[in-house]
Formats: sequence, C-alpha cells, structure tokens
Amino acid sequence: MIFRRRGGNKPPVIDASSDDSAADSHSSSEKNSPISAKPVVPKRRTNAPLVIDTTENNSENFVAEPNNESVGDVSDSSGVMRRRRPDVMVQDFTVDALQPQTDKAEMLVEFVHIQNKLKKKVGEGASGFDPGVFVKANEVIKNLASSYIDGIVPKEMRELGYMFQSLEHFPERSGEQVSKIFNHSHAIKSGGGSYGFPLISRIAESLGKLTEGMNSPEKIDIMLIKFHVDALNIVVRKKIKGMGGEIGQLLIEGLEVVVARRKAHDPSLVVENISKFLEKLDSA
Amino acid sequence: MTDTPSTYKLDKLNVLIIDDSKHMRTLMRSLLNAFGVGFIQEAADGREGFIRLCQQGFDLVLCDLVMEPVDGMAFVERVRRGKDSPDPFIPIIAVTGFTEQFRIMSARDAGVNEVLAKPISAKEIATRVTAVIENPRPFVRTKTYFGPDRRRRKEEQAFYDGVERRKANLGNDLGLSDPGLGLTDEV
Repeated sequence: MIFRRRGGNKPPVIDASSDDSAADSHSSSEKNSPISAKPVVPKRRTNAPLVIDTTENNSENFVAEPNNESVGDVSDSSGVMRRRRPDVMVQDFTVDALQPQTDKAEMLVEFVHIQNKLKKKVGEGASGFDPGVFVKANEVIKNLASSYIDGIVPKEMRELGYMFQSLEHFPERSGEQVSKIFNHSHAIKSGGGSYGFPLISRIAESLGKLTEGMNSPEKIDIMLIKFHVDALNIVVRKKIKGMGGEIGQLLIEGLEVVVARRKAHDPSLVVENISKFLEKLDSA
Repeated sequence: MTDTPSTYKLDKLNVLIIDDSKHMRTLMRSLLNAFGVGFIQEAADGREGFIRLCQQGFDLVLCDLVMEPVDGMAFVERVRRGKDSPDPFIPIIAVTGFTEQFRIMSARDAGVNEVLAKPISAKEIATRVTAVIENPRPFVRTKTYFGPDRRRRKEEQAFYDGVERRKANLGNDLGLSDPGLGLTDEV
C-alpha cells in the first residue's frame, strides 16, 4: 500500500474547521489566495494516517512517501535562489506547537517506512563520494583556515580585549560586558578545531563555560577571565597549532579545572599554576 | 551493458544549514559546495531554520544544537512533532561541539538521524551524509516518541552482547556515528 501525503506547490491556508478533511482538501486550498489576513502556515502533513506495522518486516508493503516537492522544490543545480514562499509565519516555539502525545491505550508502536528519496536523488546505483571532492574540500579548509587565524580571530581578540578592559574599569556594566565576552569566545571557538587550532577552541570554550550565565562577576571571576584572555593572546599571537605541546595541554587542563571548580563554588580553587603555564607557553 | 561504479551526484540536493556561528555556516557551506551540493540555504537559529523549511523543501538538514534564541533541540522536536511541520521525515544531522552522553541522548530523543561532532571535517560530514543516504531508519511513533528508530539494527547489534552492550561500547566512539546509541532498549 502506497500513499502520498500531498502534491502541489502553493501554500495551503490552515482552516481549523476543515482540519479533518485536510488530507484531501489540498486542491481546494490551492485555489485560495495564499495572501490572507490569517497567518499562512504550511498544512500539517501528519494528518495523513500512519501505517501501523508492528512486525517491522513489511517494509515493501507499507511505504509512506514524504513529499518534499510540494513545497517549492525546483530542480536547479546552479545554486541560484529558488522559488520560495515569502509569506510563511510560524507559531512560537512552545509546547502548544507540538502535536499532543497520543493517549491511545492500545497503541504500542507504529513503524513508518519511508521511501529513500535521498538515495534516488544522488543516484540509485551510486555509492560513496568521489575521492576528488576531498582534495577540493581540503583546499577549501586551507583557505578558510587563513581567514580564520589571520582575520576572524585577531578581530574577535581585539574586541575581546576592549571588552575585558571595559569590565575592569567599569564594573557597573559588568553583566553586559560579560555577555559580550561570552559572544566573542563563542565566535573564536567556532572552527578552530577544523583548521588545526584546537587549543584556541578549547581555551575559548573554557572561557565560554566560565562566562555563560554570569551576571555579576566577582574579583576571582575577573581574574579567571584574564587568564583566558592572556592564554588566547599568546596562542593567537604565536599561531600555535595543535594542542601546543605539553605546556599547552597543562594550561588548558588547568583552566578547565579552575572553571569547573569556580562553577561548582569549590573553595579549593588553586590558580597559581595557571600563571606559571602562561609564562612558560609565552617563552617557549 | 555493464554498470560502471559511480559516486554520488549531489547537484540536485537541497541542504539547509542551521548554525548561529556565521563562520561555521561558511565552513559547512564551503565543504558542501566542494562536495558538489547544488543548493544550500542557511539559517542562524531554530526558528529561522523552521521558517526556511516551511518556505521551501529540503532534502537534508545540518543543525547545530546549542543556539539562541531557539536551539537545535527545539527545532528538531518541532520538525518531528510540530502541528505545522512541513516535513516530519526529513533527515537531520545534528552538529554539536558538546558531546556529553546526556546531550547526545537528548538529540537522539528529539529525533535526529545522525550526530556529527565538532570539530567538523570533510570526511566526517561525508560519513554522516553517507549514513543518511545508505541507512535510512524507519520512523517510529510510540506514546512518547516520534522520529527515526533509535535502536541499532540487528546486524549492528551482532557485535554486542548483553543489556549493557551500548554502554560498554560508549568509550569507543561516544556513539557519535549512531544516535541509536542509548542505554536502554526503548524504541
């Protein structure tokens, strides 16, 4: 048994009164103008009955075919912007937007075997990626790596530096500053590992963990932020690849431990070693 | 007529990338471009991603999990179980820098097909995309879950023994290649 969910290209208008007939009412909703006073949202596809197949072995007999084409899938491999619906509005992300869990007492499990559309699109007989694409991809990573270490990171580091100075001198705005420090750390972290700078990412991640949700930093917090900023300055200035050897490893582990203890309000916070590791890394 | 072994032709694929970091989006887009993916769209959070999905059909979604204001978990849940979801069956690969066990299991329970751990590489993306193409899981609806079957397949299970088999294997790869990993045998 094969069933299709729906066809057509136009956005249907949701009409609560005709909800039960939604699965079959697509052609009529196509005639309606998508421009409506009501928010236009795509029709729920899950109205269509699902196949109950508790044996799990009847996949050939039961196929539910999700129909991507119905929402504007235009075959075009040139990367040109395709037809889109500009007028989609969606409900807020609340529990109300989700379908209620079923309370059918008799229901145990429904299996839905969907058609492998992806396989069809990439070629039924094809298997695996062309090895040539990895050469291309590595070239891409190489180019992006230089824009990361010579462009994005220095820029973010400058802003991180300003923000840290501002935090030191204008503590009354500390909440806002710490949140910006968190954002900069997030930006620095992204991609470092992919480009061969995992130490930068690890330190930035540790700084992110430290500053996440921090509203009013105390003196000790400012000191810990400073350790991270100093560590990042050294690693970025020296463009240290990998984990920075034994010292780099000790430094990041030290930073992660102090952050974890600070977050757990552990009084046994020992920070002396961090300064030592920073000096060693700087002079290495 | 003999069949010559061929490789994937991705030029007809529509892929949606959802990540709050512009740089990560650029990286993923560039890698997918290098793979020959024909059409790529970007969104900066779960809400924007959901709107994109409503506006247009996609074949595959790569979605970061930790984002503001709407995170990847809420996005996946909305796509799978949303009243207005345009495509509850779309394959979703979660991309995350947080690989703690509970996060991976939450992603699995939200309904992702695969999990890709950051830092991402061309090879890792290719592995996950291949998994989605070659091993589509049947979808399952239970009282508390709707999404791809979270269990390992029988052939995958052949390598394991005992109720703690998944836990025992946890150290090997954190289950990152397989969101079916879990400590229970729930469907």
